Amino acid sequence: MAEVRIEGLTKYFGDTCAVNQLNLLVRDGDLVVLLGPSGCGKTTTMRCVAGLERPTYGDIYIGDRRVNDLEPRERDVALVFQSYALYPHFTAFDNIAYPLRLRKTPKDEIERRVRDVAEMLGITHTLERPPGLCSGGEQQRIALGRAIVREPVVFLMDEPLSNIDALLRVYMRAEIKRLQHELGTTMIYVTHDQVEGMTMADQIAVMNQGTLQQLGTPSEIYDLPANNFVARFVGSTPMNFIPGALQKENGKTVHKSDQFVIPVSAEMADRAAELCPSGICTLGVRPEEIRYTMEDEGSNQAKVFLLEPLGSETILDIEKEGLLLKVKDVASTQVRVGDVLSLSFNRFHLFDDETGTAIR
Amino acid sequence: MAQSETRGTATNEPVTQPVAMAAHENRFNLRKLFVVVVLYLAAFWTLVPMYWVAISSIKSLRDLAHIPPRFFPTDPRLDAWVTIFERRILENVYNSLVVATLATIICLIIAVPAAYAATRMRLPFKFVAIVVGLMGLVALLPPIASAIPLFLLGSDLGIIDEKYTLIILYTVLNTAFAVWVLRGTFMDVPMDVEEAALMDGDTRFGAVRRILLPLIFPSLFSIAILLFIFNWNEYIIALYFVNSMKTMTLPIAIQAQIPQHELDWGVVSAAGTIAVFPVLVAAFTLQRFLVRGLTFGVASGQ
Repeated sequence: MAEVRIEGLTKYFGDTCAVNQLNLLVRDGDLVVLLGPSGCGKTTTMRCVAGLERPTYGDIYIGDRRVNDLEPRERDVALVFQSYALYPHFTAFDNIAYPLRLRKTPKDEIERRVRDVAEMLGITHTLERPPGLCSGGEQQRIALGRAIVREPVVFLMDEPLSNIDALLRVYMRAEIKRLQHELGTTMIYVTHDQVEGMTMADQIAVMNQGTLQQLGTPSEIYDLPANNFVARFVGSTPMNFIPGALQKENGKTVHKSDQFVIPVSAEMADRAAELCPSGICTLGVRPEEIRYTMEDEGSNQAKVFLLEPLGSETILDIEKEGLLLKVKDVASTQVRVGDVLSLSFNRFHLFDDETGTAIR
Repeated sequence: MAQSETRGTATNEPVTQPVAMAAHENRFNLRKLFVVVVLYLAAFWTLVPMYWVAISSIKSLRDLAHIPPRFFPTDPRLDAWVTIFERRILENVYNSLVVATLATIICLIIAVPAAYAATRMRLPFKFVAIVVGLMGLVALLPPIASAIPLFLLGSDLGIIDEKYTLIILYTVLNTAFAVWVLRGTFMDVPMDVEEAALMDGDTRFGAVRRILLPLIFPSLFSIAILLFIFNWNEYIIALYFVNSMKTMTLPIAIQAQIPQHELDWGVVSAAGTIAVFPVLVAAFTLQRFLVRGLTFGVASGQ
């Protein structure tokens, strides 16, 4: 067990900067998800921790050891690859036993530990088969088994669930989280799937273009996004963005856009005056934070042009003068296409247009 | 009686049904027939000369000279074989075996790490392109272009007519080809699998030995056999570097059976038959491995 500390990690491939000045502390026993779109540097970061890449600048510590100059085998870190990277010429048993054999573990202990792990993962029946004859889910578990069996100090997972079907994925992410809890081993989990990130993580590190955007618990990331990138990236129905500017109207601050006039609290107006003097900012509001009535209540009216029934809820697609909004509603909604709704905005965020940073 | 009648209808019934499909199946069969015929023609085309050489080695002089040529010897005899063994052809076989085998092994020992470096070490792309490109060029060079300068160099060094000289030369001349082919083979193995071995605690060398090489073994074996055949058949370099029975390889020995005056086709044919035999064996083994090499997939999550 160990914490992982990344300090000022920078990685260049030729002239391309893959990771830029990344600082990250993964506490002992935590499950930290590196979340971001493809090419954001999350995998590179993980590979630097693994020892498969050398950092251009910066330091990586596992426990108290600075590991920059250590070979992967000296770091006691296990990595589960996106492709599983099983050894096709070995049986499942030999795949799982491989790290133990390299450590010259006695034969009977190998036998016992491999069987234990296989039982824990429910793959005992596959042990004598080569991975090519196992299903995708079984291959995935074999890869997990190979990582678990040697009891490393840190687990690294590189999008391990992206190659299995959606149903199994929902099941496996709970399974991985349970395993991590039971073993109490620090885990860094890389994914581009924000649902995976939200459901599994103790802490999420959102990355974009090689830089860390925000580090926080899933609810912090969701409720208090640090900037418009995080706000946009997290949430299965994406956040709505309304570009506009802050103005004074009748002594009160409002966010005025081409479509809407939205009152801003005095507290938020003060912060905005300090942080974003120009007042030009985009208002972001999650689909579940928009309320509506069918009555005519002032200017914030818009027309429904599409319903997306999801079974457990319905998404209303609303349009006003070229601006599209998504509003979450109950499954049994009475709203029909063509209805005109009066909208009110419950909780929202303001993002400085110049920097993208949240004003709060 | 009743029993045989029911049996009769029972066998008749299934016959009528496939009739409807017959037209479709026929077309398929015609296509297949065409392919088979072409393959047989190609095989015939290739094998007839070998058959001719083999059969000529046991023909009597009269059969050899007969016009039109005889496809079956009327009076088979082993005179030519006795002669060729008297002329110590087995020593030539031994020379060829030693030279071809050692040159193949040494060539692979050099080419495998070179190809590994070219594919795995993340060297600057331009560097790899230039080096591998140059090697490809060497591989394509006609051997006669290098034979004469090499001979001059060899005689200056005083290493003409030595087996090890042939081994060194064959190794050098084939390395480019071997690296070229091995590089493609290595690129087919995903980096992940080797990296997994590193993560599991293996050294780089261990990952190559325990994971990479076993995975590409069928291809490696195929390349080894190809190299062996190249070396076994090599003539032009040997022509310059062989002066005595001590180093004489088979291709040169065959040529040596053609004397100034009286040409004994039987003896030449017997020598030729001996030379062809290991190549045939190699080719059959190679074929089995080539098929395996193609179907030996590396498991991935997809």
